[in-house]
Amino acid sequence: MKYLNKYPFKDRTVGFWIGLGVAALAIISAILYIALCNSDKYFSTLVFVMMLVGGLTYATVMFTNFKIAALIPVVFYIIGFGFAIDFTLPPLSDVWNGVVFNSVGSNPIMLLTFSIIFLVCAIVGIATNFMNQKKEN
Amino acid sequence: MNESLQKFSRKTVKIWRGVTLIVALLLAIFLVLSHMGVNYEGFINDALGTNAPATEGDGEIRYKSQFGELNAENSKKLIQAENEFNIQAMEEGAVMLRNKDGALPLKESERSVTLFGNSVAQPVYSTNGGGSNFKSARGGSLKDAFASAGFKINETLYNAYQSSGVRRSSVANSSASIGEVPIGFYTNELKNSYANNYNDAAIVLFTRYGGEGVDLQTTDADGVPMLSFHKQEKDLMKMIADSNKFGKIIVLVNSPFPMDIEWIEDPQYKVDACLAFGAAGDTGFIGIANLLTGKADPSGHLTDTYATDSMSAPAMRNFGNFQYTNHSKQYEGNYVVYAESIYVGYKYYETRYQDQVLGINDADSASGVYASKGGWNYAEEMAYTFGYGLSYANFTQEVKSIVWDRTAHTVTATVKVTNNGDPTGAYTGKSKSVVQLYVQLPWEKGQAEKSAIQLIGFAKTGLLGKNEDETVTVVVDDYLFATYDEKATNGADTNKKGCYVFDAGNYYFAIGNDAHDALNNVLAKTHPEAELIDEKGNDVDGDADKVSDAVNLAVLDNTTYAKSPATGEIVCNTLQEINYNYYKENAIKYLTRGDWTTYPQAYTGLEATDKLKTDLDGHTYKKGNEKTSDFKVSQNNGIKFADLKDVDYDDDETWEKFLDQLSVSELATICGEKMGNDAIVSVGKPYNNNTDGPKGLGSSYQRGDKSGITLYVDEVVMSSTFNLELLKKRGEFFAEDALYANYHMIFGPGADWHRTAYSGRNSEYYSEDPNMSFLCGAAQCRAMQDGGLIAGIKHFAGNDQETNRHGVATFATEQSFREGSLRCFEGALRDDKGGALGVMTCFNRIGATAGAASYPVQVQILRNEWGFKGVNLTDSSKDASDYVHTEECITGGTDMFNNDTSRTQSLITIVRQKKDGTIQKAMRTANKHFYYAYSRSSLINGLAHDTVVEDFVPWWKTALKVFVAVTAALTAVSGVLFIGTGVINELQKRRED
Repeated sequence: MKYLNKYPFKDRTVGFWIGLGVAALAIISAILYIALCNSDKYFSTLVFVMMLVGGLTYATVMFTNFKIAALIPVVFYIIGFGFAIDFTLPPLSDVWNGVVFNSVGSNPIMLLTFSIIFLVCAIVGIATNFMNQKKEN
Repeated sequence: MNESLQKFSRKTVKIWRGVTLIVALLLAIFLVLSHMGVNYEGFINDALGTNAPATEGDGEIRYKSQFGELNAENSKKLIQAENEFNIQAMEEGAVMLRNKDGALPLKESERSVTLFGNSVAQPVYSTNGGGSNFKSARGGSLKDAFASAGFKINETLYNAYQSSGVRRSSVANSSASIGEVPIGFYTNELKNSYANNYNDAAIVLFTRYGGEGVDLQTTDADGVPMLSFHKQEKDLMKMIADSNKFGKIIVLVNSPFPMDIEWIEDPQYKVDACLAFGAAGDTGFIGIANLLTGKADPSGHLTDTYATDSMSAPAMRNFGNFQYTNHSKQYEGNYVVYAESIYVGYKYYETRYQDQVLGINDADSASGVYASKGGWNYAEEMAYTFGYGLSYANFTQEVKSIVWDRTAHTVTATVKVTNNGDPTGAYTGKSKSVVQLYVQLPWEKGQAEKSAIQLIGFAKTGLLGKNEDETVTVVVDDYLFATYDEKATNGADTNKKGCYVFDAGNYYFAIGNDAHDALNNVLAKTHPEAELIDEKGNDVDGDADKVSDAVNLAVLDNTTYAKSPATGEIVCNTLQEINYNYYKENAIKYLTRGDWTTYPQAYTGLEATDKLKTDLDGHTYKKGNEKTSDFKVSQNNGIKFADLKDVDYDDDETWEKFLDQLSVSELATICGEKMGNDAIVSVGKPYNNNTDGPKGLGSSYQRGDKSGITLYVDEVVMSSTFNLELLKKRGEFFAEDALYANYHMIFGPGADWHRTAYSGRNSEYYSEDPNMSFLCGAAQCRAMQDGGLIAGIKHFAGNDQETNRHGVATFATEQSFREGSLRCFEGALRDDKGGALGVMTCFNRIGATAGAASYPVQVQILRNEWGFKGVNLTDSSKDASDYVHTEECITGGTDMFNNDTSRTQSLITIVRQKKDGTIQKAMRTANKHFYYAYSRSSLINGLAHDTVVEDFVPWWKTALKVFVAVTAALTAVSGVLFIGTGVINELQKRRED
């Protein structure tokens, strides 16, 4: 029981709040990703799931005292970013080769934008892992 | 102290937690880069210049540069020669459409000019697509070219265009824009810049642009077809004309796509002269400047029809986005119907013109009217026809003889060409003239469709001065005017239907200044009473002296070409299933010259029948009787790659022994291409490099000048030269570039059909006339192969639009597909003609079958009929894996999957785990094709039997492997440290508590 936290927002540090903001960004960007890119040839359900689950697992930081809790969402962000950028490569390579995509193709700019957002989530999430999540007594 | 220790301990946990995540992120990045390295190795090598170097050995250098040793000095000579080639190609390929009162060439005193048109800031040097890029350092930019020719250019207006902020956009929707500024752009200050200066001539540049993945839009951002004469352009021309400031008004149409252009004859625009040309390449504008100044005489002729309205072509009714009403699955839901039959380009307009003149078949009905005020009228529908082109010098052409030798299967035309000089006296240099040879075939209703006139051959004189003459001989294969009749009984096997035939009746061979002139000459002979007109509606007489006497065939000839002239294979109906009527009888009514009211409708809303849906699904592969145990692998038979260069294709024994040496992995490695293939060390095959594209190799030299490979003028300019020697030279230069850059196969030239003016990749293809494409492709590919470069001509076949190119079902009659889409490639790919040893297939379906899986096209026609011996690879199949299925493709004639190494593992799995001997056999066949082709390329240079070949791994791949290993290890270590310090910290806390 001592690892559970009944007061998720009590005695919280800057690191926690930044992490919470990142989690919110991950969830929102995941929803936008599926809303805007689901018809894209290179849309990935796995990416959507990783970012969404990553954001939701921030609940472990809020409701537990496990040291590992803050790491869990960032692992999901990293995996989500990795696959997102991997799926952006094919349309980017076509643009590199001078191909213009038609309406039933892909929007590499959109995919790249989301990849960058997911990378930001990962980097900022990493930064918060160097910080405390709760004020030390 | 305990408190300090605790604090330090907590801090340590956080540090290792953060560090673990940092190295985990780096690991993820390196894993992505490694995956990218697997999939895009060729592109990365191109970008970093880390392509596999040539393997040095003691063997024969079979393919040598004409410029000597491959070194820096000679590379500069090569580049200089290529620059000069581009200039010459443009001089001979730009088409002069108008030259009123000898406005051109400009006098020496006429060099102070204003360049108009926002395209001045964006000339078309090339269109989108793989291959080389424009290099301004070669001095061929529009401005540099004109400055070098002595022109003084109005800098005020030129700079204004550079900073206008308006640019064309090439996108696949109605926001696409030609990028022309509105008339309000021209402020008083800009108008003053030419009021008293820079007004010897107004030179107006208009462009149109397209490329890979995007067709020109039939409704663009201005709400009009992209090839139409836009309001901004009209306003500009009116402004220039009404200013009365300019001595001359010259229009330059820098567009591989035929713009609506009849307005240059409209007096309100006061256009004195007009040149039309495609993409200019690195130095083509120097050629344009030379034409304007009279340093050279234009001798280009159109290889596409310039109709008054580009939308009037019957093919336009069924061009673009069409979807089944009941089947919308991605890559299966789109189609296009070639309802125009064979009547593409001039074949439509000229055939209908003949019937208009003869007053038959409702030629003058309202069907298909776009520019005529009443019923269809040729003069109103046509601006400039196929073959049209002016020059400064006037020429006369006198037919000496035209003979159809039915034994030799040739037509030989002997024509005396005389240069009568420039009537204005302005041009005093030497000039070239083109002899265009056409044929009219006999036709009756009920027979297979035939054009009233069709090009069968051509030749160009050398440079002739005034009063000089040259007797030109044009020799043509009569195969080029045999008609594919799907209903005919095949003369070699009367159980089969479908045959190339010569129908009974009178055949007329004619020369002409263009297709229309040739037809008028024929009509003058056959119907001397007919009232003939030219494209402008002027009465003309035609010249019966330029026509042969009728050659009469008493009976149908269905034997001469019942078999392929290349291989002796019976040529009969093979593609009946590519006609939509196969799925739904009589659904499509094809255009026939017997009734011009059959001008096509747009076939929207077709239904996908159950059979069609099954065929679209494409999972048709059935394992055969072959077993994997039937084949040997990894044998040591002592045959090396270097030994294959003189092994005949039909020497099955040697080939089987060679293939027995390869393991399943090695077989599969060849099939999964990555802009090249790994070295196969066991048989001494080095790493081979492949690249794009039709406009020039997309890389840089490994030896010599590394400033970038030449961007050539486009294929539209090339075909417009009507000079096969130049096509040959282009092929030679491509091969030279490949020697310096160490490439062995190029995905080029392109040869699809200019079915409409709107197809985005027309710049990479030759012409609307399949025979023109046949001849150009043959000349260029033969030269490339002779120089050691595998010509991977693309996209075979039917990639005649970019819209829905992934998976669009192309429906046509077998006649129109054979005489159109396939004929365009046939010259290059036939073993007895171009002898290309490479082909890249299409993304589209042929009928319902993915092009890369079409056995009838890829095996029966390409190999059995045409004798093709080379390697067949898909277009980037990684992008098309949903409908380009591995088993179907490899058994359907595909040898390699371009840019798709995942197929390597798929094939290994199929053979090893599923024990599929049929696939293993297909892989062996694919490997034979590969090794045959590459042993006839510069890859063989220097290799001897005992040359040791090493695996090639670019440094960045090794580096990535190291980075992945290191970051993986660091992630593990820091993870352990994080957990360890966490545990220690927790234990400490408990002890405290």
